[in-house]
Amino acid sequence: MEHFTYPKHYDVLVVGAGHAGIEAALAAARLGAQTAILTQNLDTMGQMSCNPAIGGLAKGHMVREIDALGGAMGINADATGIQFRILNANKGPSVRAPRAQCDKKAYQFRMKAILESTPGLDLHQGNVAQLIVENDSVCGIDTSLGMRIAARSVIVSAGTFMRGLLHVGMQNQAGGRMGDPISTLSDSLRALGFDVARFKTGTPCRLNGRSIDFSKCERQDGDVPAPRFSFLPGGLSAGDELFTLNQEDSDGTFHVEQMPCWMTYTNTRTHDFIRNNLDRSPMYSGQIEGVGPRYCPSIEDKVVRFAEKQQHQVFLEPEGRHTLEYYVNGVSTSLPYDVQLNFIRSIEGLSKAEIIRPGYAVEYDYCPPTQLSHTLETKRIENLYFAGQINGTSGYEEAAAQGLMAGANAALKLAEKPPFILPRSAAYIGVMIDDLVTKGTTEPYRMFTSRAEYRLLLRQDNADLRLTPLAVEAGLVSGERKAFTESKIATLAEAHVFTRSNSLQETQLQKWFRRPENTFHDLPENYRSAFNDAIWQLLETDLKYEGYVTRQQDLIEKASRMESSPIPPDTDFSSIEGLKQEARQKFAAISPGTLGQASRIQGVTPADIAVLTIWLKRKNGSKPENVKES
Amino acid sequence: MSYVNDAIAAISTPPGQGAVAVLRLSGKDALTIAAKVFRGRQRPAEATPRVQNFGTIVDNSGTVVDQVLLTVFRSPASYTGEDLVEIGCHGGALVTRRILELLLSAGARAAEPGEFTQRAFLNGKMDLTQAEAVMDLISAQTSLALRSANEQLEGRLGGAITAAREDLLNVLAHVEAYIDFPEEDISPETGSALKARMEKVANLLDGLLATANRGRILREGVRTVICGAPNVGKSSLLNVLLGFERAIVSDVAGTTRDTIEEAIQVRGLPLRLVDTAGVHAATDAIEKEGIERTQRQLAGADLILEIVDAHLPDQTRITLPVDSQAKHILVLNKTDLGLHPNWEGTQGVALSCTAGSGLELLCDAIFDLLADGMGENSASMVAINARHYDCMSRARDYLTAAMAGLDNNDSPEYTALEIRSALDAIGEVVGKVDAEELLGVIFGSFCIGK
Repeated sequence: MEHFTYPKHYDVLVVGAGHAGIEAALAAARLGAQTAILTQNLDTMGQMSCNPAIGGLAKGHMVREIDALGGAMGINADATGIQFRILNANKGPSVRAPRAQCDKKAYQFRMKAILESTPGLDLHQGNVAQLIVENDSVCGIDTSLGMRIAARSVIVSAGTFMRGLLHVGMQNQAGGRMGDPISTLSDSLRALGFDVARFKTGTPCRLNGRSIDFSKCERQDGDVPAPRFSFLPGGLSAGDELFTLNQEDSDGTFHVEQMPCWMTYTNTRTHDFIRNNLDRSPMYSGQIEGVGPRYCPSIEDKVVRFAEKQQHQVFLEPEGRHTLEYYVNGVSTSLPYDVQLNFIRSIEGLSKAEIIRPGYAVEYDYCPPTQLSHTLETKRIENLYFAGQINGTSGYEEAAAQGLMAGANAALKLAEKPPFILPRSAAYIGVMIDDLVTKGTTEPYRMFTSRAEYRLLLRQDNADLRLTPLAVEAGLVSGERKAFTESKIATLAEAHVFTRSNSLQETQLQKWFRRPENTFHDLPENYRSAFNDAIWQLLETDLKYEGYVTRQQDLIEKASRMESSPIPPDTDFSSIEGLKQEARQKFAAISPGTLGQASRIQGVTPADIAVLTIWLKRKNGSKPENVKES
Repeated sequence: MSYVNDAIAAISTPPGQGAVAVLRLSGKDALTIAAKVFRGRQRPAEATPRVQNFGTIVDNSGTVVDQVLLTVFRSPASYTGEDLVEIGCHGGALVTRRILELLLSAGARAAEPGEFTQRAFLNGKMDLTQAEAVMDLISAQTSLALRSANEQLEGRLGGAITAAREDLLNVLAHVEAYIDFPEEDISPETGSALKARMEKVANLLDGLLATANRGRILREGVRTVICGAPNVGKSSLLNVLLGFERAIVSDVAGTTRDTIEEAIQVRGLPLRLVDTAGVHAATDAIEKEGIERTQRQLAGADLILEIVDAHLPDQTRITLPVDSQAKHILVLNKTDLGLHPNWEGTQGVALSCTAGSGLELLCDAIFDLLADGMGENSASMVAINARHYDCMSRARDYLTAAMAGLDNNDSPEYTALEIRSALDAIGEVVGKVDAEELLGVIFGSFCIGK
């Protein structure tokens, strides 16, 4: 095929403009890389393909981390949210999490406007046909229309589009999402030697709100005042005004006209419809080969696996302010259309419901993420990065976080700067990426707070304090956000000094705060007015939970020696005497970067780590000193 | 094995009886930990390196456990290259074990097989050729350890510890489901239901911890002290039980001036016999020292065989230490000379060492008192060793903290931290729990899927 090569040569090209691709492109552009996005359809950039919500447990933590690193997801959800809540408000500070229902169209179109207006970022509509690789290093792509785009780095964030196969009952059709065509990029990846496997996920049907009897459902309202994702005041003004639904006063007060969600339940009739038609389910008839997520089972799975349950919750969530479309959360399904209609209409409040889009399952190609290093660069092809569902993850937030890290690292590497890697002790994002590249995943990977061993330190309310300084150092954050966070950190330090040098009820304030019954709301006015509530709240949390924090920090210190013991990338594990065969294979496949990472690989025993430790020590010890390796 | 310089402790001399035994303690906090149990002219941190310091090891209540020689080696001039403390104590399984327990409860961790040597290597205390040997040693030792662990894990011990781990994992699954899935229509246990679940694990752990003593008895023998007034036949009983002349037997009261240990088996039950100096008001200094030692022996005994000369009307009786856990048998000796009426109706075993009569009765009595079901079937011979004990008592402490958190209505993530710490401690014996295993239990138990 003859090629037209696009005249502009890019530093970073991002393939796919979902939540991963967007953050990847924005991060690369923020670092000064000449960046482009290639997407099948400019009108579906930033589309929320499944539920209309951002955040939740662990995911909300990650959105705040993305925001702290200068990403767009938090502000965009703030601008387009139609209901905001803090989950686990009655539990401790480390496991509270923000979540927002968003107006899907406002979300994606506001994001499109941001991408269009970002300096150093170009947009192209087109379908990638293949990657161009020379000497095991990527140098661009060809589109299906014969255009070549040259780029020094390529980030692939193709979502469920690679060889996507949609199932509704025994009918199936190729597609990345209902209504959208597939990508054949995974064929190109396979040809380059990548391991490619299949996962499955699903989505429920959508209903026309006009046909729902809300009087038979329970109403769920948002929190007042609405909690925001973004740490940065004034962020809402940056986007397109038409799609910025929520406003912020000059004093930072956040105005949202919130919409309710609704709850109803399935019943035994619903379950009978489903049970009687399992032979028409592609899941149960063996048509679907991909592995689906256990935490997001289809309704047919729930009915079979938890047969004793008489009812399951169903949430009716508005998809936007200017649409009557409702997302039916809890009944993801790939049963045939007629069965979907019957079981939906058996549910209280939905007896006359009109399905406007059916639920379906989608199988897609992904590349097991143990083929990546911590920067999300592939080990096989230099300057090629993967982010999002291609790495076997699930969820907008998981995707966005990976995108940001891949985009940052692609740009940093081209600028010959050190990589940007977050340790497990610093961020949920660090936990996720380390899990992915070290352990891989056997089902679509979703973040849970239980995955973070230092959970008590990784609070959603301190993500900026933890991460913004790191992002500043890497060049990801500057200007207003940098100044705001640095001032906040300085003020918090002042507040700590204040509590050491002042007392209340003849008790030093620091000690006073440690008593469980005392909160900053009880402070006398002359003290209270010294700092704003946000600072007092952070300080109080620091002091009240100091004991646990110290305990977790001790653990981090204990682990740090292993985390900072590097394993050379060219290590020939087969030459190490005393390693078990299984350990040799795993080490060779994953090539862990540190002893700490090696110890987390599944199937590796403490004895293997002992042998490896000694081997490394001996290797380093035998090197002549003061002689640099060339 | 964790590659950190946390303090580790172990008995470095082979198990069994010797004149002296040596314990080693190595790591960043070695001197601080040693200071908690050692009383001498100088604190370990101030002691001159490589010079022996005389002093005592004391327990939490201040009671002297043994007189010892403590030597401090400062990093890097030590075997391991870290701060290292060597404690030379009186040889004897009980004393050394007790000192090890004190070091563990003062903050040290029981060393893994080969861990001292490994640290020595990692800290550059060995050259390349030695390193080769160390690697062989460690891989051999770990595979040996693994094999022995596996053998043990096939038995009831493994079953019991694994059961505790499973139960604890289920507890954690309830807590974690409560944290991570607030909007699901699931009912993870909280409050008293969860507490009941934790108490079940606590009981399991307590049961296992209680077997530590049985384990020690099986490995080291029943610490049996023969005592009584001078010349009632203590050494004779020892000799009769041993079947040969071991102690110096004479008619002069006070001939036995030192304690003597011998190992025998009674119906398959291992006994370490200790003959002591007689209990009476001593005059000469050596004998006085012997009597003090008798009191220490009594304090650490599992079984006390108190002998009286039963053909005499009365005798100086021993005074048992107040906190003694020992079983006690009164041996009415010299019955060949006739039983004095004063002893009639007294609970005890009548025998005669010189006539050799009544020994079977004594053996029956010992076995009945101490066998505790052991020996009849091997499945009940389950017992945990010192390392297991260390891990499980840490797990038990964390579990106590978790239950206190529950009573205190602490937010669940803090309770979860305690349960995880307990699981990690048990995991050192039967394998760590990782996130995937936990999620497997959560998704298997609860219908998650909003």
